[in-house]
Amino acid sequence: MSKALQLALGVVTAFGGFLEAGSIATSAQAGSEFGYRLLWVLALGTLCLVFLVEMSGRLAAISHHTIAAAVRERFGFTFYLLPLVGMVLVGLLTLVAELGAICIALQFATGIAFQWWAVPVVFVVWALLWGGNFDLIENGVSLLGLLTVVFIVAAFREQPPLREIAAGFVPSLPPHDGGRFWFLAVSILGATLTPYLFYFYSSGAVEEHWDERMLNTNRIVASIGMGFGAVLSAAVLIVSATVFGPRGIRLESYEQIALLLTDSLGRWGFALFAASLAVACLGAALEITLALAYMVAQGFGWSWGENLGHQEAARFTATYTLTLVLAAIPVALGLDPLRVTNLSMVLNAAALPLAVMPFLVLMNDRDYVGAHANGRLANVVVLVVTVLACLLAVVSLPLELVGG
Amino acid sequence: MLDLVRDVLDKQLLDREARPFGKVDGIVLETRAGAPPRVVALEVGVTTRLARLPAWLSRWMGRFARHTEVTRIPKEAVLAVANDIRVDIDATRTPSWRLERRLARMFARLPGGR
Amino acid sequence: MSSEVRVERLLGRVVVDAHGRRVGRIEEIQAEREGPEWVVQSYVIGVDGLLERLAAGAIAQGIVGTLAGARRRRRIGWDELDLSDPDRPRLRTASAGEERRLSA
Repeated sequence: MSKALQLALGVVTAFGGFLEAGSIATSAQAGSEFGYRLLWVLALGTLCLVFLVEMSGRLAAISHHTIAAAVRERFGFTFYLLPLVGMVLVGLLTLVAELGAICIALQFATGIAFQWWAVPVVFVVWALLWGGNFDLIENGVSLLGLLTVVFIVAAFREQPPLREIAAGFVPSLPPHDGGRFWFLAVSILGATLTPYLFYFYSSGAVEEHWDERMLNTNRIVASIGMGFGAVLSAAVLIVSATVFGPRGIRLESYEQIALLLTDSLGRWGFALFAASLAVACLGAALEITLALAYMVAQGFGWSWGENLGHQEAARFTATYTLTLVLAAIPVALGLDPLRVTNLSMVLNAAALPLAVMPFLVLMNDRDYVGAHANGRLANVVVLVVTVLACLLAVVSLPLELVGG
Repeated sequence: MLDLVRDVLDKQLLDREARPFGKVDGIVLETRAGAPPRVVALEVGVTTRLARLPAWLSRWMGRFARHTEVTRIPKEAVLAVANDIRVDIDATRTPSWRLERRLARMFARLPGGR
Repeated sequence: MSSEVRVERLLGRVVVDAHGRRVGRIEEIQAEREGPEWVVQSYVIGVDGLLERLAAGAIAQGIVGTLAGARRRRRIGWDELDLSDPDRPRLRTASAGEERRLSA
């Protein structure tokens, strides 16, 4: 594959795979309740994400170790249990949210209640993992995810006030409902910085045998791919602000969010929303499932890899199978997908230090990354945003649960 | 100089076919009267892993874990210590591989199993 | 007479001196390759407390680097440590080994 093509594919993959249940739901809610005022939080989260993704690719290219494997090796088994258990629990809940959103999209398309779709959807996800390889999962699904470009189209058709949008990128305090504002702010951070994303990315880089020559590609894919991806989240927020904002609607269900595109795209809007939601969340579900299996297998030193045969990586295959079975249960029981989404995004933010701190140490450890250790800017940005997200989550979650 | 904790403990083990079959969960030393202790073996296994946890946690988790036989790799079998640790054994013949083998047999019977 | 001791079991154990005073915790065990053998030469004892044990100290140090300052550690020779009870390693002397700072 030529360098340019590889680069383009990487960027497209990052872009097409960016949106998922969390980013769609939290951006829509933020736009409807606070207009463009939370755009700066999205920008801050994206900046941190670019650093984290670039770091995980760099770790893989230089050390040929994934984050999970390196954390276990550097900090030992006892310490590794902490991020492992934390991230598996939060990851499972996030997976429930993604699967639930796919099921909701199918409910929109067929009228059959979402919980009946839990088993078929989980089976399809499993079958794709069972039958596919890493390229199919990563590229195929992300290409489908390009459909989410409709949100950018809709944002343009809404002709939003550019001055107000620009003002939204300047950090500001809430005009009203402070508690809700910060709850949505931390939900956006959680949705942007879901740890499975960079754990998945580092495993992918090792599956594809990256080495030092990939460092530039990695830098470009991380910054441009993730940067453009975040434009999709911003587009959802902007559309929501223009459509719902003036009426101050609080979005409590996916049925409400589904009307996002009907204003600008007419009767196609609803179908396009359902289709976008389905493909975006399918991609995310595949990635989270793999990321969880990667974390477990790499932590225990089993053979792992979506490119290996099932018999060469049997425990890994069993792990993703079990993960999907567990995640299907809450969906089949009819747990409200939007509530699960909101909860899981805040928990992602709360668990962020578990995923990020040990990783940050590795990125400063010359035993692992040699001369390619982190610069001070990367350390400071990642550290500050991580701590901020966690503190906000710990403070705002109880308030939201009590208040709601 | 070899730092046993930093360079050996918890590192990835690869067998003679470069199959990953676990991390170094334990290192066994032999103390000798009048002579320095020496490394006699590396270990992989649930029991070794659990013993490293705080007592309350290890008791609690021990109730769920299956205490399969621990794989002991004699020091003589260690070929190289670098990022990973390569050892001259056939992992598929060790207790660590039992679950892998059982699952593999199961998957082979499913459609599309490879 | 020989018996078995485990590295992972020694790791993090509190070392006391001959008078029972706390010296620190075992952080590293250093071996030398002697032909086919790996022979333990020395133990590194960290004088820091709880933070190190939770790896939080290591994290803080890894991120902030030298700002955290060199941790106080001392290295003791294999023959200075009595491992007859591996859960309670003891120095054979009252305050053996010269305390020194090692950069982490």
